[in-house]
Amino acid sequence: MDYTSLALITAIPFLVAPIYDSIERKVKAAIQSRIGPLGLARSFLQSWFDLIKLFSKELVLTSYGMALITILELLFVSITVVILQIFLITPQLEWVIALLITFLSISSAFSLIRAISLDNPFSSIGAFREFYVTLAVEGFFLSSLAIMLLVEEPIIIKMLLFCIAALSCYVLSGRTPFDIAEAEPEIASGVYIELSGPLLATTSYSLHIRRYVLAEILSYTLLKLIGIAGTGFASLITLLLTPITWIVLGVVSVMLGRTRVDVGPITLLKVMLILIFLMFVAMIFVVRLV
Amino acid sequence: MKLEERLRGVRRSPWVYHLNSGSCNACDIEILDALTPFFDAERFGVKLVASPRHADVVLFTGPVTREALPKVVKTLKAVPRPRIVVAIGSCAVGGGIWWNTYSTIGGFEKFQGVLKQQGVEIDKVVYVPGCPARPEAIIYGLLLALGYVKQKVSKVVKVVES
Repeated sequence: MDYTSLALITAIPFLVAPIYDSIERKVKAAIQSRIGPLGLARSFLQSWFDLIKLFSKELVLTSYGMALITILELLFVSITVVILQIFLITPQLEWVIALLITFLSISSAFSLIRAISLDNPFSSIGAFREFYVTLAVEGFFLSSLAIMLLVEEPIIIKMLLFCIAALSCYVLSGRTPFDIAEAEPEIASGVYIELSGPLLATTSYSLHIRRYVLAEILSYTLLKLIGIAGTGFASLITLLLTPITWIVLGVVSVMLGRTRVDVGPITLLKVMLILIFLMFVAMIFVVRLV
Repeated sequence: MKLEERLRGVRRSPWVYHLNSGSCNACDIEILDALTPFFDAERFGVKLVASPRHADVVLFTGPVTREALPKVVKTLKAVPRPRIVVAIGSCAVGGGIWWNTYSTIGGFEKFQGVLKQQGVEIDKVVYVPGCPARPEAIIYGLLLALGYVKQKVSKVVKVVES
């Protein structure tokens, strides 16, 4: 693969992530019998318009540390997405998977650090909730992803791992009712409360890219479940499947729109534990068969 | 970047913040109505935000009571520039029936004097009268503030001599 194609593939997520978000908004509007962002340009570029506007706004900085952490978060999410694209091109390189998981967890850690770095009480509540959700999901997600990508296991275990990965991707993408870290009307934007102008734009852009990473990982694990991952054709399918996965996650969030945000994490933890239990049972069953 | 250019940026993606300065809640209910799927304000990129730091446009209701005054000043100070205010309802426009009571400032026009003293600049103000203002009027006022529609009437101050 020449350098131009490589640059193009790594640049795709940075350009299309806000576009996918705009399409999600349009789809959500259609489900709610609304029109949503009006016109062709708005339908595809509304999130880009939001980001451009935020970059032109005044920056009200309450702490320099927060600004640094926000920029570092974007940097690490960007590195993660570049590694993911490299993994798509060269799925045979296993060390890239290790690198991907490492940077995914680092970017997640920066998101948590940003949440607790503010002394605003609304941000503290948001940070506490963010910690709760991350603790309920992150460990299971990273381990199931590692097992799924590195080890060839029976289909029953693969399916259970895929369920854990899919659930985790939904939760970590910060959609209803797991957007409680910001829980907009409830706790005045939670961890985002003090961010303004370019800093808010940076955070929103990080979230878009993070959602892209999770949608692409979910698309790839789906192909892995079917058994067609690892080829150049599969990489192309993954890229095409990513917007569909993104929108499916958006549709699920509309369906869960009336869910209570306070019972969300505990229900998630219960479902996660049930899935882990089922996986252990399946593993014991497989070991006995062998 | 010039103010006009920044306002043009806001035009494509106006994020609104609802600020009640002591209204009877009638206008607030109409604001919520204007932001429901029925009127679908997201057509114009409008998004309701919960923090003033994220806001471009403040949907302002109430005659500004003396009790709410410091909080309202603080909130408007927290909005990053360019700041646009849409003063909604008779009370916000000119104080309404509270225009000369002891406990209110008497509408946004008088309140702007207080804001100037505090060093808070408002880049654009649009007044939407009505008691309460209709949701259609609120959306129209918002679009007027963003420059989608042109102002039909000019401001004329008439002094009645007794």
